[in-house]
Amino acid sequence: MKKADQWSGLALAILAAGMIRAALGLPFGDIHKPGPGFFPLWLGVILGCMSIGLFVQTTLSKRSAPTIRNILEEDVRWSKVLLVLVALVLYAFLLDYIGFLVATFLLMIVLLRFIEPQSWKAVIGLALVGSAGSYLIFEVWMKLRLPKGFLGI
Amino acid sequence: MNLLCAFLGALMGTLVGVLPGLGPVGAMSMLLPVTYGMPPTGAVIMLAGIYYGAQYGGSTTSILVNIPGESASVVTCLDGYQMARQGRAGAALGISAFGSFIAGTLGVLALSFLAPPLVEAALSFGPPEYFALMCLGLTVLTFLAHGSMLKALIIAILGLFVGTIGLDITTGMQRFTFGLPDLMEGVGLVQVAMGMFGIAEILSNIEKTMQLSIFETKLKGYFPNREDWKRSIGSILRGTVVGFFLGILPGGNAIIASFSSYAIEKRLSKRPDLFGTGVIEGVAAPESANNAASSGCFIPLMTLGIPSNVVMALLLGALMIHGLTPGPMLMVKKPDLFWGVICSMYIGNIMLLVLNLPLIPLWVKVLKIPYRILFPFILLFCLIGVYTVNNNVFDIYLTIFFGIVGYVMRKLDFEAAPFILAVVLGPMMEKAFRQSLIMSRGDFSTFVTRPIPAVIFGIATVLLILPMFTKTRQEKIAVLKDDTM
Repeated sequence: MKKADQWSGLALAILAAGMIRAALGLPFGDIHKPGPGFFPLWLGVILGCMSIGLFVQTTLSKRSAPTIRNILEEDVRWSKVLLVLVALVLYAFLLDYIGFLVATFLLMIVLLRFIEPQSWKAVIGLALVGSAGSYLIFEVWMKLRLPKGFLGI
Repeated sequence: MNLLCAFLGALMGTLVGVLPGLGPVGAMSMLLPVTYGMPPTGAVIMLAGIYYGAQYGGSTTSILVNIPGESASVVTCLDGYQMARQGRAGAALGISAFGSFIAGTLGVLALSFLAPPLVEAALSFGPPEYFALMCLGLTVLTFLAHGSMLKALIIAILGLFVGTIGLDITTGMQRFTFGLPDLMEGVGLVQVAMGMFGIAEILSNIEKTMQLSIFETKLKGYFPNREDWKRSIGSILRGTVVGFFLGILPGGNAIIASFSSYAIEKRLSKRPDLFGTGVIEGVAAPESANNAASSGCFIPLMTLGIPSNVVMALLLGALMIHGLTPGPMLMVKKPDLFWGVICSMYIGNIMLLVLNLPLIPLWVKVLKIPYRILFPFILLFCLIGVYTVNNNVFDIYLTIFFGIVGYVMRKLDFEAAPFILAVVLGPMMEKAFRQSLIMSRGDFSTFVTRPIPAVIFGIATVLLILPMFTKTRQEKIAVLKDDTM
């Protein structure tokens, strides 16, 4: 149990089991008039077979394949990836409270300053251009309705 | 007005094509909200412009930086960059622009002649035919995917399942919504595409420090000389034919077209050993093929309403947002839309040729913008694009979720394209499947006794079984190895 594809196969098989379980909760209908559960159930069954197939195929194969450890130990800046994701979730969360303009300004600052650090002057300038510019284009010019916060902007 | 849309679309497409790490899929989904306020014809014209504009722009980056601006220009790097190193960047850029123009124009011409008879034929198609065609589309896409076909199939099935989320079409019952009202409408294509192609792409770009070095060269003489023309005209025409037909194929796309035409040229050439050292045919053929393919793939969408690749799926999404359902009826009911788009493609190709050559110095400047400044803006556009589809913050969360899924999939070597196409095809396939069974009163043999589905399923089965017995796929993988989507 070393290869990444073995783990993928197992995880997908568990997912397929969950799909089948969920699909069984829906009316199956019959072959003359398939119900809402008919198609998803078959998809779950096919996925289950295929993921077991993937597991077996990878296990039997003699060719070397990347392991989970290989993937994790790659030269990847995981902290940066995580930081972007956290920033994005926070952004989505804050949008309705502080409004598009402020939230975007803050997001741009984080992205510009903490992924590949740049001078604060450039960070503030670009963040202003990005947030105000997109506000002008989308809200003022194209009249799309961006979220407004407690400030009304 | 429509001219302006074509112009803006082509220009933005070129810009996006030039920028590495942002393909036509990302660009089209980012710019989707811009089209909401437009009439549907203008919107489709603009999105189409982005697509074929990106095919033009991609070559510039390949030739000057040796990094494909978008994935259909991967092969152009091989000979294009070598030509640039020999001081022939101008001729390489020139031939790719002329080749793209010739192929694009011929492709649109073929499209306008082939579409009407195909619509006639498509009008007689019933649900079993549609179901079979969609199955074939997904099978071809997984067959052409790089890496394991089994993994691509798994991803396609997962995509189909995600496509069933939401209200059931016939009974109105909620399926797999986890009680979230936001999921009742189903999982939108834009959220999936932006997540998997926008956010996941950015995540895998920032995980490493990205460096670009532009090949500094004097750019002059975009007009290829007589010798260049003599060598490349045949390649351009062959590339056009190959590209166009691979474009029509369900599951086919510009990437496959450019790879195949390069391989064909190399096999036909009198000097195959020189390929990869900077021969002009090696630039002309793939660049023509990818443009011809981008016209070809409009055929299944416009005549059948079936998208054959991710870009066309996005176009389908755009049409549906505007309340139009593509397919044979669209051409019968709204011919002005179809012919408007075709006309704009003729004009757009001319505009690209006239515009692009003088603008190359500008594109070179664009290339010099460092990624660390670019990516926050790309991300911001993605977020705005997703939000404005429904004015719903939930869609942003959903996009982030698919971004993570897409990133993990990249790490584990699963391809995103079959997933996205399956999400779009899922509801259509299920509908066709259920209607077929109701029509045949529960008789599965309807899929093999009707002639057209029988043939289509035959081809699909061969494609599914073939990889188990032959080595062709391994060879193909060797060619496609450094392909990035």
